[in-house]
Amino acid sequence: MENKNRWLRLDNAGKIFPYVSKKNFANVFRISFYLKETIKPDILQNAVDDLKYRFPTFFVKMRTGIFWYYYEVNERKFEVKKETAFLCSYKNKNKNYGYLLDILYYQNRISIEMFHAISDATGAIELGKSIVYRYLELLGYKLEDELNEVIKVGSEPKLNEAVDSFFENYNGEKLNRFKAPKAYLIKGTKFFAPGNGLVVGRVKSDELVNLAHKYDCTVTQFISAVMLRSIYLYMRRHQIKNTLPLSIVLPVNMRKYYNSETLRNFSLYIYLIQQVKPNLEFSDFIESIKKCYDEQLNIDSLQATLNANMQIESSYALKLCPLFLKMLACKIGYSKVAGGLSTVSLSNIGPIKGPKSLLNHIENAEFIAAGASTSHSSCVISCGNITKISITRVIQELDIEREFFSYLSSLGLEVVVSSNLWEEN
Amino acid sequence: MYCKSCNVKVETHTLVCPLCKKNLIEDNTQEVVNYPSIKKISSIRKLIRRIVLAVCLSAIIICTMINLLTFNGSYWAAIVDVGCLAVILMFQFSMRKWVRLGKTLFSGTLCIIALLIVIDMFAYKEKVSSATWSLDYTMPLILAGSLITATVFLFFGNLFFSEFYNHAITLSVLNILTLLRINKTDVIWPILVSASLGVVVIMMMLFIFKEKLFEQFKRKFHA
Repeated sequence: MENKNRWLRLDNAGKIFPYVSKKNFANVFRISFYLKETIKPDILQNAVDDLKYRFPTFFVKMRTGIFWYYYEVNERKFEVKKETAFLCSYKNKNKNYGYLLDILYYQNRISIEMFHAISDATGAIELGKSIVYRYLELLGYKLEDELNEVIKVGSEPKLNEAVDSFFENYNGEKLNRFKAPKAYLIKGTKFFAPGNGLVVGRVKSDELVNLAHKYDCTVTQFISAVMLRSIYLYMRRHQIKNTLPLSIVLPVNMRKYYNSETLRNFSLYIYLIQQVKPNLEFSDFIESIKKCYDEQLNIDSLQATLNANMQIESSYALKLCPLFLKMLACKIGYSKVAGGLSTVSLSNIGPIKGPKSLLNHIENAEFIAAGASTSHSSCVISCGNITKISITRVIQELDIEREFFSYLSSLGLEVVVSSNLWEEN
Repeated sequence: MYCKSCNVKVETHTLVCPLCKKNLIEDNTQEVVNYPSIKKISSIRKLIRRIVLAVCLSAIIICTMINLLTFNGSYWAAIVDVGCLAVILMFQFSMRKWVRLGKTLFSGTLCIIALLIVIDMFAYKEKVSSATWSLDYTMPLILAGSLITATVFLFFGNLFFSEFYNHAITLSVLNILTLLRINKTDVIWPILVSASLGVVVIMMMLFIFKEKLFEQFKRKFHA
């Protein structure tokens, strides 16, 4: 079928986001690439125009069906924009010519802000790498990609890039899935100006990896433990009486488990849970996290979660329920059923992989998520020898961030912190 | 710059630590503005919309109160009320929202028809009477005009077909439904024009745009 006639059903993860997203609950994330020179907007625009039809699953518009939303290829002109102060702003399907993503530039940074219904961070990084690659080509740089690690202009979109991998890997079995308990929720003073506060900490990747290995854990486990510790100390410092456990919701990239090449959503979530007890040590947090990994991060548990999610979607009652009723039910019920299961979210996308000729032009990268159901969202990304840990929040108080980065520094890491200073607006 | 309290280096253009708000120790590093600052964006369109909304709501409240307080059998305030509501709705579905051209056309049509019916019922009359010229002439002809506009867009390719086909079908049905008034009026020609146009457009969609139409139905009704 011709590219412009294609339409797509929303994937399983993407289906819920249009129903529950709104201005202060946007479900948008941002991937940024810092280059070594100031971005030229007209060249960036040309790069995006060249790539638009190679990535049909990103440049879509959302249409309203009788039972479900769906995507159609968006043929309107896509414009790159200068970044504004509003991080990860809500993507209204009736604005921006119907596009659900923005490609932004600011100083030496190219950013892709994307509504989570389109794709996850892994998919967005592929788009980002291609845009940066094409941008550098148009600037006149000679780039080589012997291992074909970047999707380039001129190649045809592949069918397996548009596959709903949740549907493909659903085997219909009723398995016992992990049920997360209700978790402690951090409360605080909302910002005067609606938006998200951001603090980003930059550390050296090799030092971080060495530190994690010193505690006999992975980088993700280590950062999760530091986060849990920060929340625990925040509770102790403010003498908060709480019996609910602390929980971090951690997305897991399912592509490696199922050999999927999809550029759409294909992540599931696990919960790293820490019961609140007096006098917890850092090693206690690491132990709890490893236990959660053993319980939940295995193919059987992930398959059970996938099946459970797909079973809901596959039920005839839900399929034939009109869209407006689904929306109403989601708006009323989502926060009661799915909300309150995690204290913070943490997503580690890992190192950006690509040809050396491309990575030489990228100073570092940044990954920011905002507008999720938790008060704080943390994201980690590495490029070269720089790892950036971002923490966004919807409250003014900075206790968690201060404790987090101070502790990393006290463990011997050199931490460089920056912020969008949203609390000053 | 460096924060002694948090034991971290800081990249900022301010002199305080973003984590603890204490003074930073300056070193030779450059001031850095990492993220754009919030600017008061003067959105003229937003301002105009708010002014229009305020004026319309005030007009509705004031005119309705005056009409009720000085009631002499004529409900003239209804014209003001419906007129103001029509203006508010038209601003809501502004023509500049290119993504919703079809919805703008459809809602605009209904607003104008409603307004004219109310004017017909309440204007220049001592008491409320049934609408005449609005139902006989303006309603069928405005529906016909909107249908022609929607149909023209269908020929402009896939981009506009998917945005206009459902409005074209709805307007065609509304045009055909004007036939219900054929026994209640002496003025038949506008009804015949609008109903015929409705039938022609439906036939055209079934024969000329058959594949595109069924493709759109498949997407719309997918479960």
